Amino acid sequence: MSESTLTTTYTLPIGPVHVALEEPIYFRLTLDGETVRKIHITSGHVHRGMEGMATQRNLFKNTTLTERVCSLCSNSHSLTYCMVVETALGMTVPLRAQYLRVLAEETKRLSSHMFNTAIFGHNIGFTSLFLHLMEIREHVQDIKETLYGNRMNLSTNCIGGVKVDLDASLITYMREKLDMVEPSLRMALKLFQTDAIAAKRARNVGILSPDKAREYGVVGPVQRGSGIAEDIRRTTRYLVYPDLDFEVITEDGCDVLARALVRLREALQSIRLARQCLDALPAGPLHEPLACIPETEAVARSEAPRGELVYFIRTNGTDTPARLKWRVPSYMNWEALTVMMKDCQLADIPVIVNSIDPCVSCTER
Amino acid sequence: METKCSSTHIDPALVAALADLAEENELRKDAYGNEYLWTRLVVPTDLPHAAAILRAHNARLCTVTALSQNIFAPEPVLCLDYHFDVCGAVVSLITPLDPSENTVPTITHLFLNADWPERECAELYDLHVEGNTNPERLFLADEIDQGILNEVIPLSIMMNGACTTDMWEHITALNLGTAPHSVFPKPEGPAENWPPLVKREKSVQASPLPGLTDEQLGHGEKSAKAEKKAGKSEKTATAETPAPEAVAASTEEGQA
Repeated sequence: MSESTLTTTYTLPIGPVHVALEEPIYFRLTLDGETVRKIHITSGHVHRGMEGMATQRNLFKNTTLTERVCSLCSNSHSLTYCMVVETALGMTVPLRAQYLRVLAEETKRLSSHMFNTAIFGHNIGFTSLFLHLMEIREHVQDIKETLYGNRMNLSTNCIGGVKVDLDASLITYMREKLDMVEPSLRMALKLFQTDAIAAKRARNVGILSPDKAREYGVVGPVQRGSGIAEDIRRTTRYLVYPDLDFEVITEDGCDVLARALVRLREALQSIRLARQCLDALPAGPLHEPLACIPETEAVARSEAPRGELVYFIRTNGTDTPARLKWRVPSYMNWEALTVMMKDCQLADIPVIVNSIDPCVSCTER
Repeated sequence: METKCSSTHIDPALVAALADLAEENELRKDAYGNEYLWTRLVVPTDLPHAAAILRAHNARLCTVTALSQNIFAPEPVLCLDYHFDVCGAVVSLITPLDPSENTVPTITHLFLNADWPERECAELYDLHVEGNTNPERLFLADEIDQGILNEVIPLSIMMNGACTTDMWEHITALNLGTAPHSVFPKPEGPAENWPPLVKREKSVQASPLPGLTDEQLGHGEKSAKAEKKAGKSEKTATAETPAPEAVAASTEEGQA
């Protein structure tokens, strides 16, 4: 191929089904040689009409439906859905249930962040890193399976509280597992901070400046990887997070590596939060009975593993919502890819896409 | 502008500024003490002004919700709710729409991340977002009409599998030749004398309807291959292809 051919601008389609993509989405890239000049994203390949389905089910059934919007942050969906119903109905969740909800959330966050960073290893061909992180994550999967009976959908949230209680033996089991995970996770974090291969593929790649992060309204580790200290667990009061001690993690690198480091450090914070919940778990009921359903509307938010998750509900006095709407974190992060991928190398695309921890299933609902 | 907002306390200056544009302005609290401001605008053209006030208070757009009486009916959207985060608190701008125009002004010049929600509302609810400079499709393909999900078949019904018996009855009619686009000729005589439908068994090939050739059934190619194979090994071909009597017996058993 002649040099003049290589420098010609051309269009390259990637997706909707492609080995570099976990889920179907279509990128139309304008390339100059191997350099990406322009990105166009087309979505909609797995739109399932779930918001419409929610208006044909009663409030209880929607707990099950919303938990199936996504697999990695499934618990955050059912949690935030229950929170929005509880807000609309003016319900107060018992304290023990609030601690148990935080415990489930942080367990899922730990697992989700480790999965994403493991996939980073896979994307750069660092297979031993991928295997090592997935091996550590397997302990977290064991926690989920032993405590809740499932490895992905915990099914613990219900309107007014939780369904799954923990006894002394399960609490001891979780403590032991967390003690096994933490040193391995710290080792992985050190590897990310020092390894030359990881740095070569992730440092100064997929840059998103703080100004652009604000402009595009990105959320979660993508936002915090650009140095913006915003975390719904800290900025908004929900569950018992205001009573727990944790750090809002930020990194200033604004690149793929910064986002990976945020996730690994947040995973350590999740262990810290889980231990506090196990230590301070109070006695008491697990849930409150359902209150009367008024004609009203409400909004609730939580910090899912990928960032801010928003639920809106409008009730009409019946047990079936008139409207249920949710906005997932990935929805806000997709457009920022046009900034991150501009002028990047073609080979960096999988790494950059993975750095926003994208979820098409969530986005299209 | 410095804002005095937190999740439990919305800046009174912001509440007052939005109240000037509002038909209703209501502050609510949840069980954790977080404040929520619900502002119902008078006309949709006030939206950019209200959004500019929120931007001055360092707000971040969270999402936009389209509301109608029935989301499965091809009827105009009643209002759009714009939900903003203002330092932890949520401010919702309820923007009523004129059903005859179904138009709302864009706020992408103030909040760039309004682009996706505006485009989604436009294509799924058949709205016109005035001033949006990127009106390309987000989820629906270009050749599909806007708002079509409300007009053809509710996707939720399709996903539930609750599609009644219409589809199966249509397939049955196709097989019997009563459907308009059937590949089979309609059997002659009264319906009670028509041949029974053949149930496809795993171990037995489907038996052709009486009087139909392989070409009519679309089996011509397969049949030619079978003949070729039979030429090589008559014994093997006999074992794989059951006798017509055996097929008929098997069919009757299956129907019984």
